[in-house]
Amino acid sequence: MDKELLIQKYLQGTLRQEEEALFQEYLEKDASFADAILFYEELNYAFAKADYNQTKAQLHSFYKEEKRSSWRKWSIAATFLILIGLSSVWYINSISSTESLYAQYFEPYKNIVQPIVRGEAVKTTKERAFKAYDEQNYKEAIAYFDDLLKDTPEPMIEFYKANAQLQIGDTETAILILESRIKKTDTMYGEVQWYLALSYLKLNDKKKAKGYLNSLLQSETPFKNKEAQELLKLLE
Amino acid sequence: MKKQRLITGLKEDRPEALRDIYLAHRKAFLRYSKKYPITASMAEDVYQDAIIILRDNARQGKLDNLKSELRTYLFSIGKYLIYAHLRKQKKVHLVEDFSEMYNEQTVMSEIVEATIPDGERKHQMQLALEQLGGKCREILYLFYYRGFSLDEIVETLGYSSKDVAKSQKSRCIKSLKALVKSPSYG
Repeated sequence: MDKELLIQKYLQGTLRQEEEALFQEYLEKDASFADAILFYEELNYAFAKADYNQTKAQLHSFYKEEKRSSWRKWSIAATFLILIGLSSVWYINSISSTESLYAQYFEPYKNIVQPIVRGEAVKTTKERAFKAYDEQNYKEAIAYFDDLLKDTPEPMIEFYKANAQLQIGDTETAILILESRIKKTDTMYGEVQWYLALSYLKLNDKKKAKGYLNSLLQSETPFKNKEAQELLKLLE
Repeated sequence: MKKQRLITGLKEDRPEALRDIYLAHRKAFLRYSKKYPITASMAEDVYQDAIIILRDNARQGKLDNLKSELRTYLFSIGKYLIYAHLRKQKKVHLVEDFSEMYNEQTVMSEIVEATIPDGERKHQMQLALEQLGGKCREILYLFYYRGFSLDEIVETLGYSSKDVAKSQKSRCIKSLKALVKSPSYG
């Protein structure tokens, strides 16, 4: 019998009697087999844990949905905290597809605020921020953006900061920024809808993703409309 | 039949099945838990764990011939978890026999322990898994953790053949072993 199959059955607890004997024989005679078993047990444990954490977060979101009220915003924040706390979260079937859609469609918004001229000395914090952003040093860029925002809150800067957060994989923070800091009247409202849609796609929340895609199309911003329509179709 | 549909939904990891079961019995369970000295948030936590155990058992096919109602099964798991919690806090000493509630000879504590992972052990493997590509994680998850056959994996993940899936699986194991040995942080 194939050793891999034997290991699988052992992990599943479905070894039949004669297989069990064979398994024990391998275990005694072959030290590398014994090592391998330890490895696979650890692997399965890690999967069990991830699965548990994942499901727990899912149940928690059902719970929050139940409790939805005027506290809605707070509950979203709380759910995010829990999600952030989970180190290894993945849905096996659905996430892989929404994640790949995210990867396929996501590109950070181009720096059109502070054009960087090569060789020119960088002086202000704003210039430093966008230089870092352009050079894909997103963590550094975020630090500079935070500096800027400390002095004056500016939706445009928030928007770029959210983009940088998305780049470093901090989807939850990006969503918080995009949802709370940018108003309908702000110039980049349409663009924000697009990035919110992608963020929720990353979190495997298709419903929210669709909502934001629709609101992008309704905003009549000529930004990524074709892509938004494609994505909506794919999400159906 | 509704029960069978929900069990099948759980086996297939349908979020709406999980959600339906979760919502259907939640309030009743929380009411029921009030006769024990546990806080409301602990009761919610226990209830969620009970749901996860129910789901895991459904996946393993243990509920395929379930005679009792889902609710009865769920409550008995929940009750067990409450007792386990109280025992830990030394608030009860009595041990009830739960086996009669089951349609099979399963020891409750085994079911529960196998399902709820403890603490921070084996962190290294988790880090390695996170660094492994999603495709690799999927195939390893399905084969080793969920016990899918290669045929089922071909169907689920859309590989072109069993051989392709098989060689992909061994490639992934190799990468994972390398990652466990020398994790690259960040």
